[in-house]
Amino acid sequence: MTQKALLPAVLAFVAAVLPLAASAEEATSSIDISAQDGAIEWKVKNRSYDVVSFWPAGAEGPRTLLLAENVTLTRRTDMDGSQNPKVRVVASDIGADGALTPAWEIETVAEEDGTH
Amino acid sequence: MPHLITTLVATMLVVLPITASAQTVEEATSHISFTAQDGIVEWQIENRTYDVVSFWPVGTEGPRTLLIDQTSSSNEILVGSVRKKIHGVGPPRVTVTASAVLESGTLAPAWTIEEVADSGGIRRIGDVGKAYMTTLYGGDDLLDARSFFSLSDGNWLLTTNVDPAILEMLNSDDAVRMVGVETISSATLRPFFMDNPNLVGFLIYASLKGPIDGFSILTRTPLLEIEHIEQLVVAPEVIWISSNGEEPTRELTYEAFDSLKDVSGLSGLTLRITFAPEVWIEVPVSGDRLDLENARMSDHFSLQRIQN
Repeated sequence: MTQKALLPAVLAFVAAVLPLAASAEEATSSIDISAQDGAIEWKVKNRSYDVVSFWPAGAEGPRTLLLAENVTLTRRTDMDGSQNPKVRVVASDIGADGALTPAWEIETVAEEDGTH
Repeated sequence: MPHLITTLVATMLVVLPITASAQTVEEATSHISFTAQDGIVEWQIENRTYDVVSFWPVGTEGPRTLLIDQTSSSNEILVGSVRKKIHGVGPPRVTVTASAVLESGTLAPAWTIEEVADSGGIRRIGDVGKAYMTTLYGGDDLLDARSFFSLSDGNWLLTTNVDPAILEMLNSDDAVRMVGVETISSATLRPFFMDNPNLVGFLIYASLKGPIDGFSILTRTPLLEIEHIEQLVVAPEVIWISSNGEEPTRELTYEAFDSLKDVSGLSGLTLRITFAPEVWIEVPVSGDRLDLENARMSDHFSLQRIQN
């Protein structure tokens, strides 16, 4: 059998074995800690992902969203509260084929996020 | 030459204060991946996040600051409208690596935790206490399981399916006690429930250093033979009842004074665990222990002290 004759068989095998769709996202979290004037200061950037399912009012079925979450804040051991805390969430609908469709974004002054 | 020495000294004076306070930068990647085939969407998440917490460990003279480096991983599928956790890459897991943040801003290794859980984070316990808490979500059929760990050394404190009852004494050295109940419906699905057909759950009394005392909660007849079993598989309410006539409450706070320095000196306190109006347990707390001899309960139950 020639290489040319093998190609359709190889493609058919790959199509059967591999998922129909695949996607991935990534983001980097970081922390920067320093000693300043006898206190400790830290700057946090937390990037994380969550998937939430809910049943919108009046809808015929549940909706599933990917939430890409971004929390940034600065704190010191000698001060209460945070400086410039910010939470940004970007939501995308997850389709039955795994495809992502942009849904909404929010950005607000807050120190933590979550759906639970 | 004198100019050179002067320059060197001046340089050292400038450089020394800068190098004395170090800077620590850490970073890590969170990621999510999707695959879809035949109407089944599968995703895997690994989240890496950071937190810093300051707290005052029991018995120490000053506060301690920790860097909390958290990794949480999970694997789920969505089939039509049904969403389910799968264990293709293992159960959901939270891993915590804690490092002491020194006065210079540098880090020293402290402790690690690895727990089957969906999420984790620092939680305030009452007004003055703090602990690390993981949560394993139960979904539609099981009760969320929350496990608490000591910030001092990562020791397990308790696992509970209910909001823990808190007892604290302000301005005291060893100020906080917490009480939780883990039941047969816990998301942890601990296998020892299978070993004892009369076991309904566990009542744990803990400080922020570790468990102090605990009971196995048993039914008098095997659980599956009980007519209204549904009354026993719910999350009970846990509250404090005080003999001084105060309103029963989940969080009880006292102020330390001369004759009473810590929570171990408190008396006249009882824990009430209510599964249903007629399904309940009352356990006095005396001398910082659960008082088994004077415990009262509805006919359903018996209690057995958990030995170390």
